[in-house]
Amino acid sequence: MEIDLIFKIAAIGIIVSILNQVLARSGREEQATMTSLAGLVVVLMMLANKIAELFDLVKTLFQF
Amino acid sequence: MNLFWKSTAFVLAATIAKLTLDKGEKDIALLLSVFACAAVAGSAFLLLEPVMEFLLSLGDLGQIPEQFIGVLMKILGIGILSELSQSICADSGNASLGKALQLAATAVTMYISLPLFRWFLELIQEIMGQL
Repeated sequence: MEIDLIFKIAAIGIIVSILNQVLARSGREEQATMTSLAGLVVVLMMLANKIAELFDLVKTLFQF
Repeated sequence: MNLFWKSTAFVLAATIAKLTLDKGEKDIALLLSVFACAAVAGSAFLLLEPVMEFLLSLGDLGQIPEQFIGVLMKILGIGILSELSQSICADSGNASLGKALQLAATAVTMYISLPLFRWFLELIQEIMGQL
C-alpha cells in the first residue's frame, strides 16, 4: 500500500486549488484554468503506471 | 488479515483526502479515488492468487479441460474490473458511461463463454446419442 501517493495527490490537489483561487481572484482565469489542467496532467502521469500495473496483474491472474 | 486492516486504513485516508479535494479540484479528487480503488483492488488480487491456483487444481481433479477453467477466470476478472469501473463512473456523475461499460462487459462475457456453451451442447448431444 503506497499511502504516501495518496498524500502526494492530496497535496497537489490542495496546492492547485489554492493557486486556482488566487489566480481567479486576480482576474487571470486563463492561467487558473491552465494551472488546474497542469495539476490534472501531473496526477494523471503519476497514476498511469499504477493503473497499468493493475491491468497487468489482472491479465496474469485471470489468465488473459 | 494484516492486508485487510491496511486496506481499511488506506481507503479511509483516501476518502478523507477525496472529501478535502472535492471542494476545490474535483478532477484530481476523482483521480485520487481511481488510484485508491486500483491500489486496494491490486492488493486484493494478490490474495486471490492462491485461490486461483486452487481452482486450477480442482479443475485438474475433475478432469475439466484447462481452457474452460480459463474461461471462468476471465469472466471473473472482467466482472470485477467492470464493476469497479462502473462504480467509479457512477461516482463521477457519469452513470450512463458506467452502464455502457456494463453492456460491453456483458457482451464480452457472452463472447468468451461461447466455447463453454458449445462444449455443453456437444455433451448433451453425446448423451442423447447414447440413449
